Amino acid sequence: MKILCSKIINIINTLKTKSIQNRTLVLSDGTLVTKPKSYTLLYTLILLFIFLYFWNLIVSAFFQRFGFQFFISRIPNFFTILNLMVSDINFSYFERVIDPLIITIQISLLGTFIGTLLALPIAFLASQNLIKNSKIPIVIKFILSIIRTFPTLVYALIFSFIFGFGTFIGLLATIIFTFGIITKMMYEVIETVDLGPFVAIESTGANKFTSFRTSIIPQVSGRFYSIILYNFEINLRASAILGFVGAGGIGLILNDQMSLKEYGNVSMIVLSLLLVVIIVENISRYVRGKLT
Amino acid sequence: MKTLPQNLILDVYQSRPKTTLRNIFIVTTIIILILWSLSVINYPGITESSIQISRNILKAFVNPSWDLIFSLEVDSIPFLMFETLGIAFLGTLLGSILSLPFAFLSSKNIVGKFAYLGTIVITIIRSFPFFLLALMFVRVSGPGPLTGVLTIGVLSIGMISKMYVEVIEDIDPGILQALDASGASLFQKIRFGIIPQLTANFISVMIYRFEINVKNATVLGIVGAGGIGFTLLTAMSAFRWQDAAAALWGIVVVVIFVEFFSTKIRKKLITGE
Repeated sequence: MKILCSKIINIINTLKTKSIQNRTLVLSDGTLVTKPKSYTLLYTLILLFIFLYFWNLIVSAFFQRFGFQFFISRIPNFFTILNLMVSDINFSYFERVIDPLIITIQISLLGTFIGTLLALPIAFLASQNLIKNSKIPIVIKFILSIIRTFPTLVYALIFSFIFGFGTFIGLLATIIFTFGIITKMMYEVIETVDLGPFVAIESTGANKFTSFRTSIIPQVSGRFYSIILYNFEINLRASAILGFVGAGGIGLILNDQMSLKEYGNVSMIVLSLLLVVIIVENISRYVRGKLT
Repeated sequence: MKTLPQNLILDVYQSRPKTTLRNIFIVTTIIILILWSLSVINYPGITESSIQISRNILKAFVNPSWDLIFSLEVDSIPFLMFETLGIAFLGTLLGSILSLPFAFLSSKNIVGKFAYLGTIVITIIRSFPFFLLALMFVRVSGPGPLTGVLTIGVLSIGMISKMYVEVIEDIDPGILQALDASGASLFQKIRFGIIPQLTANFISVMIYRFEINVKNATVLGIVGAGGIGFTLLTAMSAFRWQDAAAALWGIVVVVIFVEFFSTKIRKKLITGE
């Protein structure tokens, strides 16, 4: 057994020296240059293996069942809808879009607001640099990462069975989603904070609350505002799919018009949502520019 | 050491920027907006059945149907999660390949002032509701995971090319000049001057988007585009909470696993450690 082990070690050692020899160059002035070891080939092989496995599972399985010809012949179907959306665009439908659009904005506003209120204390509790020598941040971070695993739609789906359909479940789903993502972004900011000013102000005799308010808050507030605005944008975009579980707002009419195959109306809805998102994006870019 | 005279400190303190008026304005705006928004919420109230359902859901969460989790058959949770991962993986790959032309055509340092045309296209793709896209692809490849791959692929173009553009616009032209000076050919300039500057960041973007796509792929099944979403939806509509809880646990495990590795690999790629 011992002999076998030593033999294997010998083989590994010779392989090592060989690979170092292969990677070493002798320059004209006699110095030796060794290239660093490269794992590119190994990683490429692993990726290729994963790719082939999934390709086999999904794409080949599809072509074996239906054939390549079938797939090619149905590609135009995709463009028929796109074509209908562009050619049939129904501008007069805009009147019917305004009300749901406002509801969507209201849900996003409230959801972002309440989610932020909930997130603020938790974000400070989850920061490793403020809460020292304690397990609380680790536990909170773990719970947060579980909350973040589900998309907004899954939350809305679960709530729709408890509360029935309506704007309320959209609001609840938005709050939970916002809470999960905002808390993470906030504690990442707080963990980069410089604690020097806090200690300095505390040493002048201020109490913990005052020193916290005057040293930590000014360092993070600007970044917090931009995080909140960014989340508002995300929530607006997400509202388009919340309608699928009957959560009210623009998603609801989008879903209706899609099932009615009124693609002219659909494109009008998409366009109005796009307009709102672009306006909000520009406002938040302006505000962020002011803040920093 | 020189100390500042007391009254100078006071002067400086008194002439600090006054933000009270601005703060009052911002706070009132927010309060008005919130009050205005409150009108939209119609609280349905908690009834006997909703309490019963929440209790059932919580109970199922603690005790999901284990035989769905621990089997490898076609409709088991591990199989469906593999399918979901596959949709996300192939979709991200497709999206990152499709993004390359979009990204290069909307970078200011490559096409100059025509970049805004590409930017508009990218913004439109980014805001396209992904269920609509999925419904369009269902017409092509029927309900099944391939539809999910195509949807995720086209949908990813928006964000991936937006982040690619930032990387491309950061290319250091000095390196290209240095290669020019040493007499490199065009191919050598691309191989040793441009590609090494892009790969690490591009791969980091791809991994980040993969993480998002895994989450997206979990709900794609709701419109019949493969993955675990369909099982989740049918289990819930039939009030089979234990099966639904099994699917939800599957999502939790896979997403946390993916998130953990994605963060690790991206950190390694960016910092080189």
